[in-house]
Amino acid sequence: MQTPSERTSFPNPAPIKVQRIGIFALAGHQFIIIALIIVLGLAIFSVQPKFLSAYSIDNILRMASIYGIVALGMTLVIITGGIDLSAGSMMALGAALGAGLLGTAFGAANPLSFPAPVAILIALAVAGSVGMLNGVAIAKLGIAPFVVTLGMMTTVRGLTFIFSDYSVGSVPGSAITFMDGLFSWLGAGSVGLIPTAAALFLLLAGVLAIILRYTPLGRAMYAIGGDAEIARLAGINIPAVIIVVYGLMGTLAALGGIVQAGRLSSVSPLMAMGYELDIITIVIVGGASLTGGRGTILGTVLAAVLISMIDNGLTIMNVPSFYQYLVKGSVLLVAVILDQWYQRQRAAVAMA
Amino acid sequence: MNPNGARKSEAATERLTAPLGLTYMLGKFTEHMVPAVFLIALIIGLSLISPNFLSVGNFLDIARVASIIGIMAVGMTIVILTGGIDLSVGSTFALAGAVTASFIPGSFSDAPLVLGLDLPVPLAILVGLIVGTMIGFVNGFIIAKSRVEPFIVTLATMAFVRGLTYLFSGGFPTIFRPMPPEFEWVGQGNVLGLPTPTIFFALVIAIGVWITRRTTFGRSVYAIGGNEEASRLSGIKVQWVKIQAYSLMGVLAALSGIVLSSRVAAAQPTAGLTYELDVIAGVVIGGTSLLGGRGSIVSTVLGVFILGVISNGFNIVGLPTYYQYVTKGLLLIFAVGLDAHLRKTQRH
Repeated sequence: MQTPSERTSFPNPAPIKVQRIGIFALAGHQFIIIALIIVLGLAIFSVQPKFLSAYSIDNILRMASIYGIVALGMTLVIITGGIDLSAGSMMALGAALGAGLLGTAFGAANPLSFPAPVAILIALAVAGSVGMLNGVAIAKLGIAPFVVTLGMMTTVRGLTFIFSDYSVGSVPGSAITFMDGLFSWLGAGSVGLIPTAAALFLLLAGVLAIILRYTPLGRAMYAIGGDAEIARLAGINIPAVIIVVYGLMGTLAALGGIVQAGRLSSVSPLMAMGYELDIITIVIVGGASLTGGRGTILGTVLAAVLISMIDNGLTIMNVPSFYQYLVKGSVLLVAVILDQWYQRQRAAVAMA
Repeated sequence: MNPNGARKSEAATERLTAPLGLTYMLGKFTEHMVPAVFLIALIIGLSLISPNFLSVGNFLDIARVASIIGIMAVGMTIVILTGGIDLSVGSTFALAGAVTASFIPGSFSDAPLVLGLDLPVPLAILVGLIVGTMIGFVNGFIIAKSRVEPFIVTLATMAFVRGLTYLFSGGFPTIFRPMPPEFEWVGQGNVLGLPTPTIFFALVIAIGVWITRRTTFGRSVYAIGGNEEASRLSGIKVQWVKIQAYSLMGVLAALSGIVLSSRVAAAQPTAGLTYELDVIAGVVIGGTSLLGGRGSIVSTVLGVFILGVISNGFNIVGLPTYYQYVTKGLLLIFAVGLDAHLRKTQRH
């Protein structure tokens, strides 16, 4: 047990201490999610054996990956103590830009036409820059992340509508329907036996997990979320870290949107409306705390699988879709209250 | 002790002791200056662009449309003043609207449950309001007792209550064949030439201002938002005040949902989807801080009208809705950024 003087000594111990608490607290949490995945998986399988068919598993993995890729960015944001309500709009913007810039949309009206890789890169860059603007408003102007990203949510949604109309040029608000090999490969293709989306998701998760755990940037994220003042005194360039984090968030959201677009070969400007709250749910169920400083990539990956599995399981069991709302709400609440209880128990054990 | 908290509670005390008269209103004008100036500039600008904008009929229309979000925004202001937030209002709005509508005589839906329920109109409305209060109470209870962040609790109840709405209505809209005149009055009637929803909004504003300025509950709301620990130590029943604040929010969300179901003559299970964010935007544009303890009902009314005037103006000028989204979003960031900036320069 630390003495009070050790606990308040800074700057060096602060980030390390925060991170260590994070890892220890979450080990138990992650174990619960894994247990839930197994128990619920077997339960659904016993009612409806089709649940574990190749088709159904493929569905779950693709869905978990699309939500998951965006949730990875949200995990970083929430670790720094922030929140991003513009994630759903950013998915739509990324998808609309990526698909619209191909110039092959049915009824295309825009003169622009780029090869798919370039179109995707432009979409990621634009969404990344919009994300960085979020970061600038938060870190430089000192506006609450909730407000900045709430404003950006409506702004970006509006821009997505405007761009969609520009690239299709028919009935306002109509979807961009297109066909493209690279998009289809991302959304519906496979790498060996694994869906491309899942491979991409795991690759990104691995990279971000390493960044979070082993680099100064990752430790800075935990430090800022733990205590911004101590992080500042420890010499961390807070605005730079925040801008990078929201930039990554924007890029990952756009990527999630592009994968979704590839899966459907279509982008509606209304796409992913309200997804930000589903994505925040995944990150919170994964064990992150909205007060910042706590959360892991592994937790988010597991939670993305759990939530997608529940969604898919209820659908495959022919449960009317409105029960999914009840289940999702309950899962979130139970997860958070259990976690709160678990934290208190741990605190009590540590005091003893 | 953080200096921010001290400054906040000072402001709160000053607010409580000040008189309600004209001098007070003028004195307080500086506090509401940013949103007030903006609203006036907006009105002048729009009347220059479009001669149709500046008419009594159009202003009544703005007030009528703004009432739906406005009624909820008054409740949201109180919740946000305690340092909380309520994302479940859109779902409560839908459930209360659906419940009341199904109890109204003459209601019709493809869901068998709705046909069997009939009560006199005032009782039907009362049932809807009670449902809203209960949801608010549950929110407040969980938030006060479990110490889970309000954002998460109400995010969960948002999904849950939306599910209940679908379950109750079977996913079908409830319509009226025909609508009883008493219920029609709630959303489509007039009192002395003013639309009924606006009368409700005005009453809610008056009660909200009185509660926040003149009651122990109101004082406690500001105190908790300023510094929760200090409030607890000075004997305020923090948990109970929070439960009351969320219950009040619930009843207002229900009222708003009931008014809308009368106005559009239908209760949709998808009603009020994402309204929570519009309501919060109205509160925040008015200048109420999401950190709690700073803001007022009057600011919120200004914020709600700014958004209402923008929607109305864009429609009159004939710009597509998308440009409204872009403008409203940027305005939200700009308004709060400017407010933060002014506050920073005032301190020096």
